[in-house]
This record gives sequence, structure tokens and C-alpha cells, in this order.
Amino acid sequence: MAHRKDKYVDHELVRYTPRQAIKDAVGFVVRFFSPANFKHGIRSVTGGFREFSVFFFAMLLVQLMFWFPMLAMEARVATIKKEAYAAADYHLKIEGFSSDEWTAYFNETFIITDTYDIEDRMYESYEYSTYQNGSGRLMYELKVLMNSDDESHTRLFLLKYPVSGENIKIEYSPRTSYLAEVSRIRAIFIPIIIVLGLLSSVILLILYNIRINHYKFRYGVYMSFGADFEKLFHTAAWELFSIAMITFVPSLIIALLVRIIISASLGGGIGFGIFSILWSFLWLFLVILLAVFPSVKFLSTRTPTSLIVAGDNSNYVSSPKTSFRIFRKSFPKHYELFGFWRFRRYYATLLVSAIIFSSFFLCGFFINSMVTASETTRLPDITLRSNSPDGIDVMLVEEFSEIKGVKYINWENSIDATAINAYLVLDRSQRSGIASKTVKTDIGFADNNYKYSRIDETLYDQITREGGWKIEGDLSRVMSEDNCIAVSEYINNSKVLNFKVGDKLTLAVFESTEKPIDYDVPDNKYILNQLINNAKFRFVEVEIAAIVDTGDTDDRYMIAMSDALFNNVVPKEVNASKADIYVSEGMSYKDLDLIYDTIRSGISTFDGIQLINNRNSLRYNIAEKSSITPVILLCAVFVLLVSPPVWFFSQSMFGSKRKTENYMLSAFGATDSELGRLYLFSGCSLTIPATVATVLLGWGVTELIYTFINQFLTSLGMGADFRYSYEFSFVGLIICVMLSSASAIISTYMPFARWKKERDRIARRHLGE
Amino acid sequence: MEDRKVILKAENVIKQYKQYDTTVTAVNRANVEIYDGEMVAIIGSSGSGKSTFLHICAGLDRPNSGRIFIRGNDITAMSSDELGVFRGNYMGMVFQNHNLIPQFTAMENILIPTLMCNKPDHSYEEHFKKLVATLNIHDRLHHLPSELSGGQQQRVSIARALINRPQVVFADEPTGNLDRANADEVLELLIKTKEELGQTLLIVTHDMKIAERADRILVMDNGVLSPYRKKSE
Ligand SMILES: Nc1ncnc2c1ncn2[C@@H]1O[C@H](COP(=O)(O)OP(=O)(O)OP(=O)(O)O)[C@@H](O)[C@H]1O
Ligand SMILES: [Mg+2]
Repeated sequence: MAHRKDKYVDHELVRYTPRQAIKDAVGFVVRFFSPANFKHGIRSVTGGFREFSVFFFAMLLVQLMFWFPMLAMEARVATIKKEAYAAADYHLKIEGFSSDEWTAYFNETFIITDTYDIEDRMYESYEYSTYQNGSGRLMYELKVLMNSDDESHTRLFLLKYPVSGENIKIEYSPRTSYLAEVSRIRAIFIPIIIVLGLLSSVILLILYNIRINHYKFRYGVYMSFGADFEKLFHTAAWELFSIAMITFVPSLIIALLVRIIISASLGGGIGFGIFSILWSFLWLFLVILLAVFPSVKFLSTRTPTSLIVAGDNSNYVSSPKTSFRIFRKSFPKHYELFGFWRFRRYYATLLVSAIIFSSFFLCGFFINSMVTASETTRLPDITLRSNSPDGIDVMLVEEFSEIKGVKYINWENSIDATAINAYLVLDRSQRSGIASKTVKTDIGFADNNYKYSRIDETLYDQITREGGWKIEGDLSRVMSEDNCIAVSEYINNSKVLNFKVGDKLTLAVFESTEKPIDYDVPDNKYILNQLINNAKFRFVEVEIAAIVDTGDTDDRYMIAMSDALFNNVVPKEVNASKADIYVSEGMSYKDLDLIYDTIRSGISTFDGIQLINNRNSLRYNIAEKSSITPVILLCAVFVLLVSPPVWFFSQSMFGSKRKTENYMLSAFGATDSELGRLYLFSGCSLTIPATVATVLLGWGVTELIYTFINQFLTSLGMGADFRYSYEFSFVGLIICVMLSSASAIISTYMPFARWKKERDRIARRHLGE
Repeated sequence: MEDRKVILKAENVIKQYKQYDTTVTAVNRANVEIYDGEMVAIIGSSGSGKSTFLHICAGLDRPNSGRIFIRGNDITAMSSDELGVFRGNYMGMVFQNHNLIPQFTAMENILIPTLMCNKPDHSYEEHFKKLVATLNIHDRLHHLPSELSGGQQQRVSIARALINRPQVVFADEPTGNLDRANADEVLELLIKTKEELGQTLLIVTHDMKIAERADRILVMDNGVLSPYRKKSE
């Protein structure tokens, strides 16, 4: 069978075999690393320094975009370790031994076994203590300092000395779990570095494409004399590599200095792995290959003649037909407007490639605000969960909230509307984000994607403390008036409702079914529809007295009310199953342990309460001391900094080809000031589309990213567990608009100024001769 | 004559340029066979399609239809990459308007083909010295094209075409900018290298004196290629 690549060489058919394909591929790579290519690359960029200056600048930024997140990651890793060590001086904590259990474990298993094999003992030291629990029983607690931070080591220890008991709770301390956190952080940063790599490729691709467009003639000549894709590709890649090698050390030094400053000011750790240098090479390699491949591939498919012919700006001309009309109109305004039209392809490319960076910058702003939220949101340090039907006792909550260092306790007494066949009726304007989930009825739009929550005096005290809920309106009315409620407007992190304080709502309370209802379908809307048609409801009119933000990212919103109203609309006994204990900021790890111990002593064995130490303060401290927001902002600014060079690079190339045009126009009688006005006019008019493009691209791309994170990732179950908002940065936008306007004007005028200088110089030389 | 090898064969080559509603047929069904070692001249009035035909034969442009064989290889069927390498190794081109790269010195311009084909330095050094000496540009090697006279640019462009010792040389008005004496000298050089290296030479010219040195003369008239007959015949 004839292969596509079979061919005749000097009248002989040469078959293209798989072996040949492999040989070709290997050859391609081997030739890539040939010293000649390397030498040519270095010579080309050092010889044509001015031609490549924009690439030197871009390459510096690109490498910083590798090193900044890389070093931020290492700093985060170092900080995690530092804080984990500060937070606990043991690896394993076992608590809840009764006296008997303790004696058995300590004397018979742990100590006795261990005295025999001191040689391969798994721990450094241990410590045990006693405490009294809520019902006055004496309990034992054991803390063990292992001789390795590895989680598997601790697990092995527990296999060797197994514990069992009714109330025994085993906790791996941060000293053990930080390694898992380190892996998690690497898993987060590596995609970030890859995304920044793609961004870097885009930057280099845009710049290289401008270069290729303007040097078409040269590439046409190269191709006339034997250059093929391989040669062009190797040349292009090595040019960028040479630049990368020259800027490597400076970028690393800058990145390290910046890292030292950031870490010193935040009080976090610093780390640097020698391997990251290897990674940086690999990363750069891929970035560069990705950047030059598309443009060179496209270039190599053109014929040399078409490239040589396109060497001047004429390849940008979209419609030569209009040319005969140019001179009839007023000069220079109409002349240049026609120019815009004739060169519209060039200007469109220029605008998009220069301004896309503004939108990346604005995205950086949004991501920064999101990361800031994730780093600064305080989550509960300790959580109580009740397994018993009685729930968590109010008395406990009151008692624990008095502990020094406890800020407030959010404690949930709630039930899903679906669990009690309830729904409420919204009007058209209120149901903004959940419109598709509601069911139209005679009196409005029915919805049941919410939960009823009870606010009693104790919870009211807690959530109105500083740091509790964010409240708009008057929450006290909810407590004092029987028809007042508080609402939250969020599902996950999306604001899905549009309530106003004073709005009236109708709550439907299920009474009885008139026809059987099929609950065995996954479609909630369908069930709700059946309920509305087949069941009897009692309606309660309520007024929204307060709109609250609990900071929760639950999959349903909340309708909160006083005891009395709650009992009226919820025909079922509901008890608190969960209480989140928030602590004050800036507490030492010792004090946090003390709070935990105090709470532990307050719970009796019979309460059926599970005590969970979330250690969110530790997480918060790590985030604060190795915050990545400075790095995000810096990277965003770097990306924006690429925008002016794109303008100047592109416009100066374009402008240098207008030299003949300038001579021609002045030969026809255009004065210098007229020509100057022409370029100034040109630059100023460019600011209009530039501004429009900035606003559209900036707003559009940020909106896209927000939707991606907030809707798409959330729908995959990867939503964030903290509240963050979509704030389009107007300051950022104004910066972008000003930058692109200034770039447009100056970069358009500059080639003219340069031409004038050159012309005068030539004129002087001629006079001198 | 019959047993001579055909080195370049054009089959029904058509090239058209479309611009809006007009179509220019620059080359109209051109057929030709050129033998190994032959020197063929193409003459014709301005705009008749000589350069276009030459570019297509040299694989620098693609015809709308028709085929070009060089040493039996159908270059119109080659991928652009294969063609690129093929051009570098077997063909040399002297452009009508030189097409020197303005940012490169004369020497750098001459050496472009060696660079593009990864030729090691020693393989062309001797040849280079001889070329620049014969073409009388050895003292202008470090000048930019803009600092050279039209004739000097032309000679640089010829040196560039010959540096890789191509088997087929395409020359588009190689003596266009030269005075009589210089034109003759350049032609002698082309013919001498052709003899030495056994090259085939396809030359476009206005100059009847030069055309007469060729083994054969072809005429391009409005895109149609035909053998030249003297008026007296
Ligand atoms: N890129 C192009 N686009 C459109 N038309 C073209 C292009 N190149 C050449 N032509 C047209 O094709 C025809 C042949 O041009 P060509 O350059 O081959 O002529 P020529 O015989 O070499 O003329 P000269 O002796 O003046 O060099 C001309 O009419 C020319 O206008
Ligand atoms: Mg011509």
C-alpha cells in the first residue's frame, strides 16, 4: 500500500516505513540540540539585541511567573512545617481512656511490650495526664512524640499497640498531618504553575507572532534557500532559549529577593529546592515550544514568494479598492481613517493581542480577592456534633460561650423544607438565581430549596456578637414579633435570591395529602409540583425583618425565625445537631489547647456529643504568614506589563514600514506638523477602540472565570467552603484603560518622531558632504 | 541528443492571479523539458510571466495546475517542508530584485543557504573565497545592502545562489543592473561554474546578447511559452 509519505527520489520509489518515521523524529530532537543551533540562537539574539529587546523583557517576566509561585509554594511548605511544630509537641493523642482501659493499655500493651524492644522503639517520648469529664469521671489522655513525622509511622504504632474503648478518640496531631497538607499544597500549586505556563506561552506566542508577521520577507528568503519547518522551528526556539538563558540568573535573583522581603514581612518561612531549577528548565522548554510551534507551523506552509511579496505592510491591506478615494478627502484626518479601514486586520490583531493582557490582569484581581477571602475567612476551630435525638443542650452552648477566647458559637437548629413537605412562595423579582428550580402557582413561584432555622435567645446573643452573622435590617424584630423572619440569600457561594427588608413572604405548611405522592423520583421540582397539586397546605404570611449572611456555603438558603413561629411552621421537634465554636484571633496554640480541654471537660460521657478539633486557627496562621496574595498581585501586574511592549513592538514595526509613505506624503506637500497631527490623530483615535476592547474583554473574561469557579466547579462538588464575592475591580479597569490609551498614543507617535530624526540626520549628512 | 537526461520538466503549468473581478493568467499551459547541463534562456516582454514561471520552476511558488519535475521528483506534490530542503540542496535562485536581507551584511547574505542547510564551515570556505573574488565583491563583504551599488547587490545575490553548489540555477535578469563589461563578466562566471559543477542554468533576460550564449532560447508571450525562432527564419 502506498503511504502518504512514499515518494520518488531520482525516479526511484522510496517507501516511508515506521522505522523511518522514528528515525525522523529522533533526528528532529537530536538536531535540535546541535551546537550549531545553539550558537546560531545566541548570535542571533545578541547581534539583534534591539530587535529582541521586547523578548528579553517578556522572558524575564515569564520566568518570574514561574519563580514567584514556585518560591511561594516552598515558603508555604516551610511555614506549614514551622507552624505544625509550634502547634503540637506530639504526633499522636489518644484521649477518653477510662481508668481500667488506661491501666490495661499502658501497663500491659504499651509499656510492657516496649521495654522488651527498646532497640526498635517507635517513639521518642510520651506523656500522659488525667482530666474529668462533664459527668465527673476521671479520664486519661496519652500524647506520644514519634521518631518520624510520617503518618504511616504513627499508623504502624497504632497497629503495634492497638487501643480500644467506648469513648476513645484518636487524633493525629499537626506534626503528623502536616505532610499530607504539604502534598495538598503542592497539588494546588502545580496546576497554578502549569496555568501560568500556558499564559506565558500565550505571551510569547503573541510576541513571536508579531515578529514573524513583520519579518515575513526575511523568512521568505530563508525558505527560498532551504529553510523548512524544522529549521525555522529550531531557530525560533533557540532564539527564545538563548534569551531565557541570559535572563535566567537575573530572574532567579529578583524572585529570591522579593520572596525574602515578602516572607520577612509576613513572618513566614522560606524554602528553595535545587530541583526546582531543573523544573524551571523543563517548564521553560515546554512554554517555548508551545509558543513558537503554531506561528512557525503556519509560516512554513506559506510559499516563499508570498512571504517575500508580503514583506511590506501590504499584506495587512484588507481592501485596496478604497485607495483611489483617499486623496480626495481632507488630510490628514480622513486619510488616516481610511488607513484604519485599509489596515483593519492589523489593528484588530493589535488590539486583541495587546488588550487580552488587561483582562488577565483583571482576572488576577478577582482571583486575588477570592484567595484573600479564603485566607482570611475564620472557620470554626471546634465543632460539636450530636448523634442523639436530644441534640446539643442550650446550657452547654451558654457555658462554652463564656470560655475565655471563645468568640461566638453558631449553633444550628434547622430542618430542610423538603423533610417536612414545606415550601414558600416567592414573587418573580425575588427568585433571581433559582428561577429554574421554582414551580409556578396561582399566587407566585413555589420553592423548597431552603431550610428553617430556629433562633432562640442564646443563639441570638451569639450571632449578634462581633464576628457573628452579617445582618441587614433589624434582627431583634425576628425575636419580638411573631410574623417576622430573617433570610439568607445564598446557595453554595451564589447569591440566588433578591430579597429586600420589608418584603412579604408566604410560607406553606403541609397539612395532609389528598392524593398519593410519588417521592421516588430524583427530580425535586416534580415532587414539589405533586405536593402543590395533591396536598393540603396552611399558609402563614411573614415579613422579612432582616437579611443575614451566615458565611455558610450550604446547598440551601435559610429562613430563620423565633421559637414561636418555628413551632408554628415546623410540625416536628427539631434539636441542634451541630455547634460551631469560633475563637478569637491571635491566640497562642497553648491557649487554643486550653479551650479544647475546657470544652472536653464540659461534655459528659452520656451526651452523645462528638468533639472535633478543626484547628482552623492553625490553618489561618499558616495562610497569614505565607499568604500568596502578594504573588498573585505581582503576577497580575507582570501580565499587564506585557501590554505596552506589545503596543510598542507592533506599532514601531508597523511604523518603520511607513517611512516611504512619510517621504511620499511630504513630497506631495504635507508639512511636518501635518504629519505629526496625522500620527497623533491616529494614536488618539486608537484609544477609543482600545477602551471599548478593554472594558469588554476585561469584564467578559473575569465574568467567565467567576462563572467557571462559582458555577461549574461548584456543580462538580468542588466549590469553596467560604464566602467570596464577585467584585469587578473598577480601579483595575481604570488602570487598564489609562495604560492602553497611553500606549496607543505614544506607540503610534513614536515611529514618526524616529522617522523625523532619521530624516534630519540624513539631511545633515548630505549637507556636510 | 536523445539519451540525455531530462533534469527539469514542466507539464501544462498554469498560474493565475485573481484580484476581485479580474483574472491575470501569468503563465498559460507552459510545457518544457530541460536537459542536464543545458543552459536555457527565457526572453519576453515585461509582464509576460517570465518571473512567475521561473519561481514556479524553482519551487518558490505553487502553480494553479500542472506539474514540475526536477530530477524526476514531482516538486508540486512535495510538502512545503520537503520542498524547502530540496530547494536548499539542489536549486539556487537569483532574484530579479535581489531580495537581500537589509539588516544583514553582504557576507551574511551570501552565507544564508549554508546556514539554512546546516553546512559545516569547511565545506564552503574555499568556494566562498573563489566566488567573491570572481564576482569582485571581496572588499564589500561587511557592508549592508543599502551601502552597496545596484550592481554589487546583484553580484551578492548571485554569490548567494551559487554558494551551495546547486545542480539547477535559476537566474532572473542576473545582469539587469550591470554595464556591458560587468554583465559579460558575470555571465562568464555563471557559465564557468555551470561547466565546472555540471549545473543546469535557466536564465531570464532582456539581453539578446546573453540569450544567444544559451543552448536554447524560449520566448514567453503573455504567459505562453514557445521556442524562439529568429525573424529571418
Ligand atoms: N503577486 C501577484 N499578484 C497579482 N498579480 C501578479 C503578481 N505577481 C505577478 N503578477 C502579474 O503577473 C504577470 C506576470 O508577471 P511577471 O513578474 O512574471 O512578469 P515578467 O515577465 O517577469 O516581467 P518583467 O520582465 O517586467 O520582470 C503580470 O501581469 C503581473 O502584474
Ligand atoms: Mg520579471
